[in-house]
Amino acid sequence: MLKLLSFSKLISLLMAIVVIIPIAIIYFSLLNIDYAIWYHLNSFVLPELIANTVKLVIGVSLGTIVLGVSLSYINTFFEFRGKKFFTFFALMPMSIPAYIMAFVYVALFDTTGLWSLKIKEALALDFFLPSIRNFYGITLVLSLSFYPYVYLLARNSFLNIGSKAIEATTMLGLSRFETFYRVILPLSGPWILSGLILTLMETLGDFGAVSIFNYSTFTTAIYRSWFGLFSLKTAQQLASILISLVSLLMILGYVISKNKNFSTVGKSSVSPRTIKVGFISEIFIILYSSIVSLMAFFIPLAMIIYWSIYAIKADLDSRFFTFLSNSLEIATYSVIVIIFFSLTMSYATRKYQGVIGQLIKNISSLGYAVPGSVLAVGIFIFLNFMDSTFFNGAKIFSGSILAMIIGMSIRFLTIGLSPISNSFLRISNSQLAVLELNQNSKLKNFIKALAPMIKVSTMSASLMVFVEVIKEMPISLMTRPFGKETLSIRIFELTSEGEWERAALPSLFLIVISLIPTFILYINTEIKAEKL
Amino acid sequence: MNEIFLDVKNISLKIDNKSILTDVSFSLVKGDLACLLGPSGCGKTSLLRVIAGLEDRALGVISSNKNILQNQSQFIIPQKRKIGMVFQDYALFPHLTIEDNITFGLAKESKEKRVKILIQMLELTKLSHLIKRYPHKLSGGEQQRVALARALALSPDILLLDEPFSNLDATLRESLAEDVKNILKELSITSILVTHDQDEAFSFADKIGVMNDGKLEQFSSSYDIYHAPQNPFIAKFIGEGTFFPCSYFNKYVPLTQILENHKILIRPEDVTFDDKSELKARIIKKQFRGSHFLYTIEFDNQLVIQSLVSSYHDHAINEIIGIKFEVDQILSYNNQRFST
Repeated sequence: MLKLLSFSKLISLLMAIVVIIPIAIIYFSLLNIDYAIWYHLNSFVLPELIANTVKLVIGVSLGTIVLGVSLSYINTFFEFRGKKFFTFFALMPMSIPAYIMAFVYVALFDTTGLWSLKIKEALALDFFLPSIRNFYGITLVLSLSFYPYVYLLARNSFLNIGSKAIEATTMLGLSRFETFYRVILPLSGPWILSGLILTLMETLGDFGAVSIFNYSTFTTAIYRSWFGLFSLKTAQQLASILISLVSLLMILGYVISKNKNFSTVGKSSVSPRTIKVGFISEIFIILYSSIVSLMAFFIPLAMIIYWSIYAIKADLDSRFFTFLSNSLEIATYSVIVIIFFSLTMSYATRKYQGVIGQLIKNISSLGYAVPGSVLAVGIFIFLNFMDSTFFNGAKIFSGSILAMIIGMSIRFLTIGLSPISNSFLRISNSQLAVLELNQNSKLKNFIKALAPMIKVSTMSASLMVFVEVIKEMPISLMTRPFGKETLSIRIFELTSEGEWERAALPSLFLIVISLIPTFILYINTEIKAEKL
Repeated sequence: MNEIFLDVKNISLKIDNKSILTDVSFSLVKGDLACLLGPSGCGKTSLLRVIAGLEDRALGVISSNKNILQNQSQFIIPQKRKIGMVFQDYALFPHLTIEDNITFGLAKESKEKRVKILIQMLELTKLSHLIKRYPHKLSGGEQQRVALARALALSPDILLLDEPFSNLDATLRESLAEDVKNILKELSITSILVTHDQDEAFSFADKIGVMNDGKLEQFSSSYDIYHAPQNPFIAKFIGEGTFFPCSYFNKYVPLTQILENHKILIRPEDVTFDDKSELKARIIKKQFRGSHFLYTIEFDNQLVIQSLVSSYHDHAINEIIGIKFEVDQILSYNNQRFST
């Protein structure tokens, strides 16, 4: 019995419980409805929130599918000048957080935006151009920001379908276009849809971009009710609605992923031979790809660099380094916590394979699916309860950076856990048996045998967690102790005051570090593409 | 009636400066079942793809049913060639039922016509009981028949089959090759099959083209390919055999004409056992083949030769036996042709 409760199992179980508590708290508030709050919500807030959310979901779905599918189709099936370049930059928007893209666009195209004014001047208009801060604007920005999810999954699927499908339809008399909608699209459907689900999770969870656009959604409403109206209860009720929406998406995603297994036509999957396009088509393709990468990557990046150069003299001071060091501090602690738990959990689930291990892993991935603002509410309630129960209300958990670190660890655990546990799964049973049978101490076994096998995945997991934590906005904002400002909080504060130029300097830092994992992702995808 | 139906002239294909096909020419009359046979990498599948139009970088002229498919100035796209193809891995569409797979290319036809063709194909390929299933629920042989039905549904002028039986186990392969041959004969569809398996080629085709290193070495009837191979490569590739210098062989079998610098081909069935023979040989290897034994024997100056005899001749290794040459037809080749 003692053996069954080994240390690693115990730790894994503990972490799964920690992940599930704040989520459960939010779910349970669905059962514990506060009628006064609901009456208020129902008559003043909810109709707008729901309408806005539905509109945004539909708009971003359309936007990301059009951009993601068209770009991946072009890059997979056609040969044109600059293809390598465009394939690389199709993925790069992933390195620009949505809220940075959002404030660049607002700065340029608000009523008194930089470029709006220039256009007004150039055309000698006697009225102001309409602001981009509306439904169409936020849809555009989120589509530009999130289409790489759809792109990536569609591209993987297109590459996997292989050349055989296209040759077979050719021999059966189908044109390229008929082949696309009769074979490629139906086969890639599940993949494209799972890319879309990821996109919609991000859309529902987005806090920074929608707040910059003053576009009310559940995440901004949660923030306002908590920090504006100081009603944690209202925030909790709103969070419970949002988490229900997300759960629906997750169920949908699960159903879709079950259909994802068969997508190749024929056994040998050779990546499709690209066809050279005609001159006119080539111009169109290059123009289209250029416009997308300009809008989704180059313009935001260029503006951020441009403004940073101006801001660097005034703002690169000790305050900036305080924000930076706060960000690095939170990220470092979170990485340590997440990697520790990921290693322990991966070891436990590898050694004692079974249903419970799988369940624990699935539970641990929930934190990433739940929007940060929802998680923040759940964690705050949980930690508040801990403080009042065990520390007589002293703010041990809820008033320190512990709350932030716990929040980040719950949210990003799966980002560390899945690559590390995959590398553990690659260790064979016989290799594990050798470790059990030899005379070395456990520590020596770990250093000599296990560590080298999991080194690379642990390093890349640490990197990805590190970058995600630094970019994270709602949890940072809602769980921070007083005065603990990080780079992303600083961006939020500056952008809510309309100080776009000054927000550029911390943004530049975020983009630069985000480029690293995006680059790794690109290499992984394209190496796979070349192998096929 | 013996009018040329498919004419392939001087086809050459270079990809990245590497010669894949060199000056390949052959022709078929209507209803011919032909086979392209050769070791892997010889270019046989590339030739098939050129004929199909899937490979558009080749030079040369192809015409079918009196229509030009390609020459210097024009290239008919594969969709318009009236050529059907069965792929090595079948390439069935996993998201469609068998019924929808078979009628896949008939979208532009009326519903009545589609149903009519479907029924006809199902009867032909004996698949009627499977129409609502999906491809992954079918056995390899059944998938193979669906792929055939799908290609035939469009009633192509020419059917191309790219190693269609290579994913099946040996017993199924033989019976299916027989079935496919009968179906194609019944419909009188001009067909080309690509394979590296000579048994398959012999059981399927009336005409065989042997390919090597991008060249069509010989294109003739199956019988001639075996009994009158035009060069040592074909002789070696098809069946078994050993080459001997002419002058040397004359010692054992008097030749009408002794060609200097020539070697002659001795097939294992040309060497029989005869206890009375004065020519003695020692058995160094034996392989049981059911009805026959294939012996590898050594005689005279450590010359090694193979002998295929009825399996009633059961001898032990190292046994000395008498052998006799019974060569009906002497095949000889100039030494220079052994360069490859």
